[in-house]
Amino acid sequence: MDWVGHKASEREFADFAAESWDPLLRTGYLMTGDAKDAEDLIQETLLRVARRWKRVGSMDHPAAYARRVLINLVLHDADRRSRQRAELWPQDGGTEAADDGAARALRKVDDQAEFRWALAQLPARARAVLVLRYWADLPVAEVADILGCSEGTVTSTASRAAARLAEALSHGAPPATRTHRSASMKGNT
Amino acid sequence: MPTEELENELRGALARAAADIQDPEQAGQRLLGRDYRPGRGHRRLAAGAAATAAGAVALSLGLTGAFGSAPARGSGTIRTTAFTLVEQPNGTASLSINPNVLLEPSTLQSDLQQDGIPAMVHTGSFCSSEPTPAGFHQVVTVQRSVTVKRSPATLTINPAAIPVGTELSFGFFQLSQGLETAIGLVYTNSYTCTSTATAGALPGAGLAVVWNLVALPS
Repeated sequence: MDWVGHKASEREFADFAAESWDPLLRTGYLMTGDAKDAEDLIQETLLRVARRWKRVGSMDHPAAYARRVLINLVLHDADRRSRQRAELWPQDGGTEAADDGAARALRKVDDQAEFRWALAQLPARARAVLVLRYWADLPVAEVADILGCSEGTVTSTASRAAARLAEALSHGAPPATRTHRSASMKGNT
Repeated sequence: MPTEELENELRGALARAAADIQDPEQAGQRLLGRDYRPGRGHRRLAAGAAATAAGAVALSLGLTGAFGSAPARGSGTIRTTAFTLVEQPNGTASLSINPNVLLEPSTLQSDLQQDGIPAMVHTGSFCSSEPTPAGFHQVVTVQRSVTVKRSPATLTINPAAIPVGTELSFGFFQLSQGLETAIGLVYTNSYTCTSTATAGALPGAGLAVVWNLVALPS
């Protein structure tokens, strides 16, 4: 670690962590579906950021770096499990009618646990597209850069992922999911 | 390109889901209370797992699927979703295995070694020595007769009792009935590995098997 013995760097990192933990935690929560898993994930993320703080601290947007670390941790875990990366949908299979149907389904959601369950049914990269694009509100180009795909793939994946979300919600979550879900959803593929 | 209406609904749904997290302030306090400097052990998320040292072994490890997450480390404790490793004041370590989560063998192996417990950890294979090194039951004790499936199983490991030239061997096998865990002592320089699940019948003394409430050698 390049900040040992440098009190100023330690303070800078502490300030960064104080500003960043909340959005990181919520991003992790959406990616994993579980609060404890999200907390573990954020701790690992902050550890990795801390190890590179001398470089990261001089970046224009260290929070963006930390978010990228977080997403990569989830995707790496998913890759390790599935051994396949075909989780994005490059062909635009979405239609306006399908988008309308998905929008209607999302509008009806009143059980957040069920929504998180439905989100967890998506492949990790598709989930990342939705979380980065519509929760973190990143431009399509930045999402594409983080995920290493084209901008077209990001937009088509968003439509397809939304359709899958709607389909999962229409079938409903298992009853236990509605009240409590303790198992990790991280890395579902 | 998703329609504008769909994009708006996605933003709203994700924002509501993100806002639904319970006790974020407590999580924040825990996160900010940790020491992120290197070489500090990074073991902070104490799960409070109680070690139970008893006689021989019988544990049930049902399996649902998800891999454990990256370890959270605090003073004396490493906690992942798959296992919790707690250093005890008397020098022993307690290892609680979450039967609901597939563990990552390299993570468990490195964390055991970090606690001064030489070990090899494999999934789909188990390594043993013939003859088996003596002293296993001075090294490992396991909570007896866990009756609730998918409850955490806890082992107590005494690294000081590990004979010189030996190390612990862990083998995890996913079976239709659940997860079988075989544990034994092996000579570091002389062992063989098998990919056959032991199904509750490990050969030789000084070995433990952890499998669907099957009792083990005492």
